Amino acid sequence: MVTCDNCGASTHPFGLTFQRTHENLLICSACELHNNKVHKHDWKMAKDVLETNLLSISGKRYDVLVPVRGDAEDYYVVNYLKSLNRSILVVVVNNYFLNDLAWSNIHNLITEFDVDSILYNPNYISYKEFVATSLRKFNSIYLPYKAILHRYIMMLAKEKHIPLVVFGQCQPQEIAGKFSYSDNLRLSNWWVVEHEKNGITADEFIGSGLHLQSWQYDDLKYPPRKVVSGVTAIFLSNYLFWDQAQQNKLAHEHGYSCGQENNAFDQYENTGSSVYYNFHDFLRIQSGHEPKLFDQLRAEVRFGRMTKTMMLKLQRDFLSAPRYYFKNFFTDFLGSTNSGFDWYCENRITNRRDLLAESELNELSRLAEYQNLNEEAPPREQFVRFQKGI
Amino acid sequence: MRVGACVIFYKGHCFQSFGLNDFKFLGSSKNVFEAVDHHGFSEICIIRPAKPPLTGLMSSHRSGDIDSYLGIPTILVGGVEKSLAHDPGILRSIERVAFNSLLFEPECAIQKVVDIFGKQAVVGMLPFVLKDGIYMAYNVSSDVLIELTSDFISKIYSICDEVVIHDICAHGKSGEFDLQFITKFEIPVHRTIACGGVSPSDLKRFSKLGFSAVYLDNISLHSDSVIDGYLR
Repeated sequence: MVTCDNCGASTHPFGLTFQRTHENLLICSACELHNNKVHKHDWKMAKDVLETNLLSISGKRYDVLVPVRGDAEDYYVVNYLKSLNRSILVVVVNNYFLNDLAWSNIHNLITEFDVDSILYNPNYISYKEFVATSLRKFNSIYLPYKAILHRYIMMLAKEKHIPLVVFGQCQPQEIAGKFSYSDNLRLSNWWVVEHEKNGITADEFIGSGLHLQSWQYDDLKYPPRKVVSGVTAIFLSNYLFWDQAQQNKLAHEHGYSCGQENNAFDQYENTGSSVYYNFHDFLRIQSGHEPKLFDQLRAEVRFGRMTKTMMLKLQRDFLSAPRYYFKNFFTDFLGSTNSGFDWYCENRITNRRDLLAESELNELSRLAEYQNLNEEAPPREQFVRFQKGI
Repeated sequence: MRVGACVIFYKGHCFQSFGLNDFKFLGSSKNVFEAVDHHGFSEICIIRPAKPPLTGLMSSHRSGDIDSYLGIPTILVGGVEKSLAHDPGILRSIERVAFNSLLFEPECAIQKVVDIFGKQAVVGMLPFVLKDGIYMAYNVSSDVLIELTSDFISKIYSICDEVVIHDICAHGKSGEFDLQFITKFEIPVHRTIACGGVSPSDLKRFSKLGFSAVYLDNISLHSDSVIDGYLR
């Protein structure tokens, strides 16, 4: 097994490659790209390209569409685009996993930056069926949301003549060093399938056992190339020097509230999800991957804010105690009985049962101490089903 | 002019490369092959590298061998002789095969391949670099650079149906293919495929020059509409 001498990574779902440096160190593609980010890449030129070429294009009513999920990154992206006087439409695709903190942050973002917004609520019954099927067949609960999200935002952008869809971080690039900053990367159907849908196409997803009408499957299918021609989707991290953890903290200045995530190092990333650092994270481990925390810690090592020794200790500590409590996903979201949840744990969890907690973890993890956080109020309600007027 | 995609293949996954040895993971092979098909490419060139990437690979349900899904014409480069000897079934989905090291052998060596596949299916793979002002051909198997001569170029074109001229240093760097190469050696461009650093914005230019085909490298999957402008 090869291991990076800098960050300790051996593998990643996005894929890592390794190279020997002149000093005979083995460096992974993520660390190699980080080195390029800090020492070689011309960020001034990249920013010029972004602002003079891409962001100068105007739409009919809106210039850019920004998909948001109540995350601190959303604040950074919207704030940046606002500073360039872009006319922005923020779009929330409801994954029905958000807690009250996420909704509070979303509404605050809309108010604080005074932007127009659209909230799309997929059909709840269909969505639950998608999630149940996704969990059963592919051990994933996020796949349906990702499929619906990318289809919806591209179709909406086309419909409203919005030329540009702007995302913040390109995770395969920033976390695994998968692309060069010179690659002029765009979001594409291949990118969505490879990175957001675990390589699973809509046709593979849809099959026997999915008890829905065929017209309901359309939500899962990325629109054909010709249908959304003229809409370009870009990643700001391809053009701006990106330090996710530091940028996220700036959201505080705009009224953002971060949560108390016991299983996260960056308390601002994916705040407000009832599942991201719980069941979703546990499913990552079930699939043989590492928890999200490890990505965040490696980023700290690359930026020189943490030593590798400390990172390895935190990683060991993290996996040495019960971490995950997700019974509420089954009872509150899927509508399972207690026995249904017990059956799942008995028959579908294949490894690391020692990480299962008997109840919710109430104490703020000392991981958060490293973030130098103020005491934030935890969310009061999970799986908040927000709909307009209700 | 045909427009193809060039991908590097190793253990069921595809890779990008910058130059010859700087690899980055691209994705599982089935996804890549399907995407290349959907993007409208005429063909795909699959390179099995002599020096494979160092990677912590995890197998996925979407990693498959070369014959897992290939809906468009395919050229295979690298290890063809080995496949013929040990796993000829893998070649059933391949329309054409490309050779590099055999080009540096006596003509009879490649004639054997021509006898098996037919001349129309045999393509020469000529990676080149410009070193100290001199064009060198790269023998991948022996990792040796040899000064290119017009005689060598003529020999290749006499035994291969087409020749891929691969600018190794420009591979992964869009828009940097060295066109001076074709004027230096009076290359018959109508039987030549350019690869390595060809940009989508160069396609019309290469077509006007008379190339039979070009292969886009890493950039072929960096957007959905990478060659739409040319196809229109």
